Amino acid sequence: MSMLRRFAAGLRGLLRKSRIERELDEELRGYLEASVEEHRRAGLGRDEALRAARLEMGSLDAVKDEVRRVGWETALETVWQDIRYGARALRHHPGFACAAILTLALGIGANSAIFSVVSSVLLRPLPYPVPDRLVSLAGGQSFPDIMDLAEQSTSFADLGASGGWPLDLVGEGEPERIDGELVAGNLFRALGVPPLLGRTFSEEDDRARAAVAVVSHDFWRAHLGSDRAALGRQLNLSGAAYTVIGVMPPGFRMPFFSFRSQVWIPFRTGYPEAVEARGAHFLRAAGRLRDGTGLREAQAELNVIGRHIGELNPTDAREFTLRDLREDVVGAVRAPLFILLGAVSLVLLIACGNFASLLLARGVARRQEMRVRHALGAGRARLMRQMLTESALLSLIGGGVGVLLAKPGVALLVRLMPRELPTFHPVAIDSRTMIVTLAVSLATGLVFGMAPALHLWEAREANLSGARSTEGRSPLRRALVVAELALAAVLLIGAGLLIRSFWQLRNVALGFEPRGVLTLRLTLPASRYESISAQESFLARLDEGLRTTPGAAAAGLVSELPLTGWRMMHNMIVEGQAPVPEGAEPEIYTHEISPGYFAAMGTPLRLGRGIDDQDASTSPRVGVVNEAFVRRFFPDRSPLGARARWARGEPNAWMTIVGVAADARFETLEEDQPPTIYTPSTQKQQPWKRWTSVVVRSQSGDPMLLADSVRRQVWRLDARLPITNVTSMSAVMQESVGERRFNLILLSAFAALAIVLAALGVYGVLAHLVAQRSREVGVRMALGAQPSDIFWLMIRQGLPLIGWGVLGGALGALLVTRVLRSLLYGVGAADPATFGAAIAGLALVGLLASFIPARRALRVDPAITLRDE
Amino acid sequence: MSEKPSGVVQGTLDMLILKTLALEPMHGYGIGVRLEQISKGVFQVNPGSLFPAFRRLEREGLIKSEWRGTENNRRARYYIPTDRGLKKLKSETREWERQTAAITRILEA
Repeated sequence: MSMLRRFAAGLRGLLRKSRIERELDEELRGYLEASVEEHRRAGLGRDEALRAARLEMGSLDAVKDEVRRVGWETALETVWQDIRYGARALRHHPGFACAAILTLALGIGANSAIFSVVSSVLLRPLPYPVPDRLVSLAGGQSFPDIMDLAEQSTSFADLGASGGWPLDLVGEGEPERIDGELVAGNLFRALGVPPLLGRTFSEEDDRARAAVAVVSHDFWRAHLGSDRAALGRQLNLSGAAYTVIGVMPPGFRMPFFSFRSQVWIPFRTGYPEAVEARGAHFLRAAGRLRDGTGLREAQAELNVIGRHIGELNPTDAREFTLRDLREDVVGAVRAPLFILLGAVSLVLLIACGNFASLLLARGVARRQEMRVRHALGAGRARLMRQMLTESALLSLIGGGVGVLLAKPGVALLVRLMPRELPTFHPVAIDSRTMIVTLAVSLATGLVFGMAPALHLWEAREANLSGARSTEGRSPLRRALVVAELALAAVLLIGAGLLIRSFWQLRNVALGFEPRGVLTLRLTLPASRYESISAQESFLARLDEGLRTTPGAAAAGLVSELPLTGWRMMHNMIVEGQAPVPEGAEPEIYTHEISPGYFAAMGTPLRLGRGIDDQDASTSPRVGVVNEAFVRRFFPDRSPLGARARWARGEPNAWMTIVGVAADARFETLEEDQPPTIYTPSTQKQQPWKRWTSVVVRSQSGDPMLLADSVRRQVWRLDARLPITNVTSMSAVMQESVGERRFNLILLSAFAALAIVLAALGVYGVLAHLVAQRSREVGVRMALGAQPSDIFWLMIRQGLPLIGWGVLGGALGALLVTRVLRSLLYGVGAADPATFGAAIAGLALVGLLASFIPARRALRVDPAITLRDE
Repeated sequence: MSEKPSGVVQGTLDMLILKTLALEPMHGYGIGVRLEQISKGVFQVNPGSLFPAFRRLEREGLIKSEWRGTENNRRARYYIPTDRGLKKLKSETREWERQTAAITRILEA
């Protein structure tokens, strides 16, 4: 109540300020007059009475000040005064103000941009109701396993799974390939996001094999015209009719981020072949824990159920590990993002160092002004407040400019961002980022303005006489420059290590030659290619056609293209190996290829022959293995002629190994290729593998020029076949290292920014030192010092700063680069070459930055400096 | 107490002003004079503490003010206690009596 009253009174005070002041004046005048009259009545003369009354009253202004100080609004006014005064002071020193504001703006802007990514990915909850009850199963899962878990466990309110499932949308125009997703169990209900229109489907729909589809908001807009009557419409998806029953709200997506689906269909309806396939682990599962059930209890229950499933299905026994869904989704990117945030904070620290240094220099310059103001009665606290107000003003403006800079920065980040980064929320400068930016700016101004303010005070005590000699030393500024250089060194070394890793990765033996290779992906619709023979004959004809494409040096097919995330593994029995229990057979990667594949990819053969035209459907089954396969199963003999077969395939379908191909990077550029067997695409064993990638090597130059003629080749055989992922192998490689490139580019940019800022710091301090010593230089010159002597005299002042800075930075980097280890490839966290190069480079930059002020010292005219004395 | 005029005990000035005004609305100079008179010259209140006290009391809604003509035909700001002010005076007086009685007892013990 009384707070409110005081607040209201203060507000009135502010609004009616002039009237209140007038009245106070009048009141005090009345008081004085009354006092005068009193004194005259006591017998004093007019003048004496006035003097006596004034004496009693004291300073009228002091009284007014006391009265004004009663209200809170006066404190506000003082601050406002400080701000106005500060702004005026800054306007009169635009160079200083611009330098300070820009320095901070760069640091703060970079921070805001990165923070907006961190905020979107790491700080905001997953976009599902009550997200902390959501869990996931680690790794890929099969449909039967998930069904058993859902049926037998009591820990989950709902459990389900989904997997990417490309679909051909056949409408009026050309067939279109869209990203679909198979949904098993009650995944929609587990996530809990209500549909925008209609309903989602559940286990009951799936069990009934209902041909229903839920579509994304984007799909609804693009294909259904945002029509509310779209519910009930039929979609022709890969040859089957589905009824649209629901539209999800904008931005909805399944938690497993690589799936960017537009259409969701029930699992059993979309992929009946895999309903019993306990070994097909291509689903990701998520569930919502029942209220009152913890992760640990649920895990204990899953362990029991898992053992039970394993006993019934010994060939597919496995463990089920529960994870917090959020952790599953963002856990992997947390460390890299925090590293970037840490790096950009270092940049800000360097910027702050420059800011403080600028303030210090300016503090020295205005020492005289402060002395005068102090002599006129301004208290220490008042002066400090004035200085802090000025630095806070600068830092807030810097923050504002920083946000302006951050906006295009964020746009750039979004463009660079790897696809895998789980940005459930749009990356933008949101209110959270604004608040953090504001707080950072204000804290920067206050903390880094404090040192100069305190420094000014101490120097004042020591320097009342105004002796000039000590003013130039400014040990604080030197310390700041050393710290800046050290931080820049840490960043530079960190960026250097990433660059080295990238370099190593570029020079890794790929096992194929990506340049000049075009690739695209086909999926044969089940409606027309259900049988193995239909698929084989299409693939054979396609392969033949591709090889005659004009401009193609070689062409081939492969079921799973390297570095794309597609993979296929089966348990394998290799003849002559010690027998293993059922279910424990080694999992071998397998790819179906056409005869031209190795030539088109540029994968060399090490032994025997590749797949060739004699390997027809009717010929004996053959396979080509990679070197890892040989190392694993035939360490001391030739694999040629040995036989192998699929553990779950036909028992008599033995494949004879006829050749060995070089290891080729498959999962990632970093990892060696696992043991792999290539089989002819004309000797298929599983009818459900209805996909293939086309690989065409161009005779010359840009492979993308071949895209049109390759498309025509495909459509000549089947005009209704959608073609997707048309791209070059080089681009595939680029994309596979997207996250690494993102980190690399950002860290390099930060390092560059850090170097520039630190160089400016060195420059500033040396320029200041040179200016301080111009008198001494003048004397020295007058006494006959050579220009080169003067030059080195000045340079020498910078050397210890640079030396200590880079050395300190190198030591700091030794401690810090350990956090980078997960991002490094083929280079140690303490790689001496990187450290050496970074240190030398930074020292050189520091030296260059000190050249300019040192040269300025040469222009000192002894006659002028001596005359000034 | 010493013979010299002394300042007002910290924090009691507001109460004394309220008490003075409870007898009769008055302007600033009059209040100062009245305080000095009643205390027989023990308390001398200078304008530097008097006027901030007025502003404070007014802000807290314990007194209000209006401009009136004075006995010498001038305009002066008269202060008048509000109901809240009178209530406050009553409770403060009670509290003051309670405390001084206690202090007196301690000092005379």
